[in-house]
Amino acid sequence: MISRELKAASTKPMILSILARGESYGYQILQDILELSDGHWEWSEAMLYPVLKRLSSEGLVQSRWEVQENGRKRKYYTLTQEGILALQTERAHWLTMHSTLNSLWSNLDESLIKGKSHV
Amino acid sequence: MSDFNLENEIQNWKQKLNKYTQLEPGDISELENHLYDSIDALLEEGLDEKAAFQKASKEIEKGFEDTLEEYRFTSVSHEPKSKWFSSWWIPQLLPNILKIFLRNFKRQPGYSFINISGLAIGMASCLIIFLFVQNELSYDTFHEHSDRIYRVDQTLIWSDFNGYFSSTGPGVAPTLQADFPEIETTVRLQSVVDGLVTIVSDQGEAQYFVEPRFLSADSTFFDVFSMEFIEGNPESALSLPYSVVITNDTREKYFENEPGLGKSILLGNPGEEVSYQITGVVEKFPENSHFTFDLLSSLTSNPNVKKRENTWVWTTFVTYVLLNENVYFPSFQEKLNASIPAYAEAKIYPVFGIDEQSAKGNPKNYELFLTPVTDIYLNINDSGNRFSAVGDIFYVYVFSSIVLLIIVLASINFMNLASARSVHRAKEVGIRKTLGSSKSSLIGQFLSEAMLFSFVALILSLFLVYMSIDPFNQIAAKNLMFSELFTVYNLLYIIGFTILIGFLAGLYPAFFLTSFNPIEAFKGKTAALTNNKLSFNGLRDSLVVLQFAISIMLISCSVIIYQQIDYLQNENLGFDKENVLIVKNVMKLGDQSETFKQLIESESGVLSVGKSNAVPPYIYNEDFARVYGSDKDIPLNSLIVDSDYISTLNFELIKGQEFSDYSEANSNYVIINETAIDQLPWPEGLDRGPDFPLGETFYYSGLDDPFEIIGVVKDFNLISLHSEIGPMAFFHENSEVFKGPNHFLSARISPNTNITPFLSSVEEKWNSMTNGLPFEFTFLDDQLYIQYQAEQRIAKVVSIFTGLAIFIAILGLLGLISFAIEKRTKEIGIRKVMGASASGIVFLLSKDTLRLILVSIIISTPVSWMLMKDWLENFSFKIQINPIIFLISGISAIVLAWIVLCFQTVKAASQNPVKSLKSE
Repeated sequence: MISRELKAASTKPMILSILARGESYGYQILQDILELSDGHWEWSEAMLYPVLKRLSSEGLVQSRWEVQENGRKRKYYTLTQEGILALQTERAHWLTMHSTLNSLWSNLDESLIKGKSHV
Repeated sequence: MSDFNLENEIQNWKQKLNKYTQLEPGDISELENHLYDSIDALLEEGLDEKAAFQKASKEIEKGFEDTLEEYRFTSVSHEPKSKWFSSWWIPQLLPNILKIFLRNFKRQPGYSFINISGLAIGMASCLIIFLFVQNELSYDTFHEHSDRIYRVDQTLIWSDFNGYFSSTGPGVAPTLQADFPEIETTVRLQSVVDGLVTIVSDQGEAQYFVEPRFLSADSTFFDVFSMEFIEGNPESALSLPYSVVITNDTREKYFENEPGLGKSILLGNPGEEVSYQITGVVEKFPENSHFTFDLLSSLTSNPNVKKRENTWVWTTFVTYVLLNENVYFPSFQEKLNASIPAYAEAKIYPVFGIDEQSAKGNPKNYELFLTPVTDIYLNINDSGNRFSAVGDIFYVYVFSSIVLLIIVLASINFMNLASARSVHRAKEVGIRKTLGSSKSSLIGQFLSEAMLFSFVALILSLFLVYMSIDPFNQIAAKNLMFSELFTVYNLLYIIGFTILIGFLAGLYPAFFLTSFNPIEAFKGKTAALTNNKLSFNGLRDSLVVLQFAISIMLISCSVIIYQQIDYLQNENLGFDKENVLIVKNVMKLGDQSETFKQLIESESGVLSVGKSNAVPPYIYNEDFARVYGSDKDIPLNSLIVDSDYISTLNFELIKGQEFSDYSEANSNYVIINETAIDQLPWPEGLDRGPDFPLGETFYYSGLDDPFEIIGVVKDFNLISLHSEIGPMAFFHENSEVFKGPNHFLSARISPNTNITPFLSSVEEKWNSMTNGLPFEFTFLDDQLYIQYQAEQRIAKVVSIFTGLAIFIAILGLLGLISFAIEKRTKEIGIRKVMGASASGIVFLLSKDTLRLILVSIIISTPVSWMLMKDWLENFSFKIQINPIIFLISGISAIVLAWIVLCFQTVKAASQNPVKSLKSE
């Protein structure tokens, strides 16, 4: 299980990245994340929606309502121009972190980082 | 399993979310959608509905409460409003508007009733007048070529060349046809005066019919006017002499179910009948035609027409032209104006002794003037219509303006009441504003409420129209149909009109109400609401003043119209019109007419009997008179009478003697009226002694022997009080003056004669002498009355709509006053506690309203005075406008308002103060 803190920290870049692929909505976003992470990265709804709301209040995403054929109303989100800039910044931060961690890990004993000894 | 309902569960779940104040409706909807998506996915995995729901909702609720506060931190400003939640799209809002409308209706039934009924009455009036005006404007539009048919009117050559009249000589049509290529064809129409028709059955039995609607026309008639032929052929129907086309109703009257074509009818007085063959049966013209006929014979049947084919001065022919399709009418009229005077020099002026030189110097030149067929009925050129009554475009304007005023009154009620009771809705506005309703959506709400009001009023008004169309038809002598409202165009007009009314009436309240500051509205502190005077506010004051000004104006105008009509009917005409029986068609008795006269004289109750060739008001025997030694002719109207006629009608002789005072040798004596003395061209330097003009002579109608004046009667109104008194002469029946085809017998009977047995006795005498000729009679006063029928009708219609207008205004006042009193209930309570009397309170409350009415009186008086002065210009004999009328109208408005005021204020003032103090 991925820790709650890490999840929380990654929600913003995660959502922005998913929306960078095109317009989407809450349920779909959760499904995408689940699929992309091979089932490891499971978010709760309780987490997703407040974040979406915050992103839109920050002006990074915008939303629109669409009435489905069956009469249900679905809220779709897309990136704004600001959202795209934010995604670029986030990406830079995460890549920096990633390369830092990578270079740290490249010098370690493999058995140590693969964690088999613990099992 | 079976008792699990997914939809219900989801709705319950949603309800549960509603209690979280952190969530906005949009958030909840978003979560709901998520739940649906999850359930759908789980169902696909094979779970049943219940399990899917439970799993999915559990997923969402996991950790949900922890994150709730997150929702709240985010501002909503970037969020779009959910589409279905608030919209400018009115139909989507309709259920909501309807709900609030009904709620307000229930809460204030009185107010809503006043509003809707006032508006409905206004609309119903509008719809009826709309039908009326549409009908008035539709005359003669049913002809296929109605846009190309014109009637040829000419300068009024029989009266000083001043004005137009609607018929011409028989020579005009052929001349126009020959000399003006713009004209496709012409048709002449003439009335057949002596329309006695005899039908002889196969058994040899004769049946008589008097046919007043009998016309004669050129064979081109059906090329110009569109008619539907049931039998016969329009091309040839009128081409031969002694042909007649009859309407289907006439055929039924004569022959019942048998066809008419080929049958013969006899026309003319007994002994002089001429046989005509029926060559066609047609459907009669619709009612909106300026003329109609039951029989139409070929003009060639009249031998005189052939004989006098070329004259322009035998002016009994109504001539119509059909212009070619591409002719531009105004330029054709100009062409006529330029070329007709040349014809007049040859055809007209010589007859009247006008030489070329003087005609050129005369500004009133001879003209032919084309009147579009569709303008004839409305009498736009004021040249009249020989065949039937004309309407008057003036009344179309009058009715339209009255109805406009009514609708203004009703809309003002709406505006006033809606803004006045705004105190009740101020809180609603405050709440809506606080909840985030934008001003524009509030305006939308109020406007759509107003439109809803006006549509409800429309439905009610349709019902009112349905109920009142028949009585209206009777009063206005019309045949309007309720169903005519439902043509596509009319429906579009009506709906557009309803929206417009709703919009106009709702505009002011909408802006007024939404302008409240929500906080102040909550406290009830908006300036307009706390103003405790009965004078409500500036705009409302002016609207009330306007309403009352309109009402007072309508009251005074209808009083003046009534007075004028009363004057027309009851003013002394110069003869006694009461108790005179007129028997028509006396000429049909031939030599026996004198015997008949004696028989009638011997009837009990008959005071005296006279004969004449015409009876008032239909005296049109103008010809020219010239005094020896003068070269000027004047037109002089004449009546040919026997020795007893003047005394029978009680004409007032002011000089000289009657015919009866002279014995046999009276054939060249004449009696004239005062105007004739003034107008006859006496030679200069004639000695005018006290007996002048007795013993003087003049020539008449081109006859060789002069007539000697033996008496003078006081001027009398022989035609109608619409017109000036003209010069007039009575000739004796034994004189050579042309008598025309008609003869009437006038019998003065004593006022207490029992009419029914008297009439049947006279009829018996008639029948004994005529062998079945129809007995036709009338009474002189009835006959005179007919010509004021138009005014009579107008007066009735005007007064009805005046009544409605006043009713609407009073309704509005009632609403406003009851509202104002409601606001001041507490004040009234306090005043009573402090010792004020009920009457003092009534005075206090009515003061402001009465002041407004006074202003209305001041505004309305000059307007109605001007309007009525204009209208009275139509009459030669008219009442003087009495200023007291305006005073009385004003006072009656005040009294009406006072009644309403007292009714309401006494109720308020007599209330127990304890109750009223508790009222808020």
